[in-house]
Amino acid sequence: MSSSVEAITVLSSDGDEFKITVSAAKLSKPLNWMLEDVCFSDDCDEVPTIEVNSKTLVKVIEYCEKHAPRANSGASDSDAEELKKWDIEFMKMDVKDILFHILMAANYLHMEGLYDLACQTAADLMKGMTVSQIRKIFHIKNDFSSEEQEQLRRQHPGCSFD
Amino acid sequence: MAITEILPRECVCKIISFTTPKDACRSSAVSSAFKECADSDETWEAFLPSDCRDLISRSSSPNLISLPTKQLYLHLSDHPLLLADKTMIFSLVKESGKKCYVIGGKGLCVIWGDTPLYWNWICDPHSRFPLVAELDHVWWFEVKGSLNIKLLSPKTQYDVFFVFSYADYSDGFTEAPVNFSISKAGEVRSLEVVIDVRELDVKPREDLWLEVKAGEFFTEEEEGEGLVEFRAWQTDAHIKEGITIEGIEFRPTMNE
Repeated sequence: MSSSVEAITVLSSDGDEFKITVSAAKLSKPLNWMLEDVCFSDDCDEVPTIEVNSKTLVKVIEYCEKHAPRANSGASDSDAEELKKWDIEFMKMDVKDILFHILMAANYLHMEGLYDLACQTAADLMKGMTVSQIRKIFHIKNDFSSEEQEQLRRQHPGCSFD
Repeated sequence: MAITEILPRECVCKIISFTTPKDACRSSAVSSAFKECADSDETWEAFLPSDCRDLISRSSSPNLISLPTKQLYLHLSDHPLLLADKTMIFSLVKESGKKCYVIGGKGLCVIWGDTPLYWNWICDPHSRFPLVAELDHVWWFEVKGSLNIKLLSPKTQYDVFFVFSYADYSDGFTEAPVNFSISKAGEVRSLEVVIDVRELDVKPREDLWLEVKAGEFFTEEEEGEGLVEFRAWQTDAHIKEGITIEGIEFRPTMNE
C-alpha cells in the first residue's frame, strides 16, 4: 500500500462515490484492513464498495471525520466536552429513516464509538416510555395473545404495560 | 420494518441494556422478539453489579448463581442475601441495580457486647440476622463498624442508617443525643441525633424496625482500597437501657 494517499474514494451501496480521509477511515476496522490490503496509490483505480446506502454513508463519514483527530492523537478534556456536544447534535435524527441504518452501518463497519452512541440514543428514546410508546418508536407490532399479555402483567405487577 | 427485524439480536440487547432495569422489565411486553432480548442474560448482565456472583458464591445461598441473570437480579432485589458468616446483608435496589448493605450486630463492634450483664444476643423474629444485640443496660454506649468502600456501587450517594427498636422500658437516650460519625478515606462527618422515639419523629419501617439517618457520603468512580467507618456513641452519666440494634444500613439515596 502507499502511505502517500490522504483520502480514498469509496462507493455506497447505491453506487455513489464518496471521499473519506485515511485517518477517518481508520476508525472502521474493515476499512482499516482494506487500507492495508489494497493498493490506494494515485495510479490505482480500484474503488471499494461499502454496503451502506448513500444517505447513511454521508452521516458515517461525517462522524469519522469529526472523531478522527481525537482518535488518532488523543485530546484534552475541553475537546472531549466539545465532541460530546457535537455527538448529541449529530444524533438528532429520525429513528426509522436513519438511526436504524446508522446502527446497522456502525455494526457492519465495526465502529465501536458510533455503535455505542447510536445504541445509547435509541435507549434514551425508550427510557420511561410505556409499552405502546416503545412499539410506536421502534415500529413494532404487538404479537402477544391476550392470555400472554395477562401473564406478563402478572409477572411484573409494578410495571405499566399500556 | 420493526427494529427486531432490521437489527441483529445483540444490537437490540445492547440498546435495552443502556436503559434501566425498569425499562427493561416493561420492554418484555412489547413483542415476543423484543421480549427475547429484554429478558436475555446479555441485557441483564449490564444491570447486575460485576462482583455479584463473587458475593453470592461466598454467601449462604451459593446456588443462586445458576439462575438466569434477570431472575437473579430480581431475586437479589426482593430477597436480601446473607454474607460474611451471616453478619451482613446484601441486596440490590430494584430500580437502579445499586448495592445496599446492612451490617448486623455481630458484624459490628459493640462495646461491652461480650458481657451478658450489659448486652444480650437474642433471636428476633423481625430480624434478618440470626442474632441481634439487645441492650440490657450500659453507661458507655458505643457501636463501631466499617465497610470496604469497594463493596459499594461507584458514583453513588449513600445514606447511612442506624436501624434499631425500642422496648417499653427503654431509658437514658432522651437526656443526651447519640453521636454518629461517618468517615470515608479519613474525612470525618459527625451528626448528633436524639434517638428516643418520644423525642424524634420516626415511623417504623415496613419490617417494623426504626431507622435514623447517621450520615451520608458519595463514592467515586474509581475507589481505592479503603473503609467507610461508622461510630455511634452516647457516653454521658445516665444509664441507658432497652434498645435492640438490627444493624447499620448503607443505602443509595432514593432520588437517583
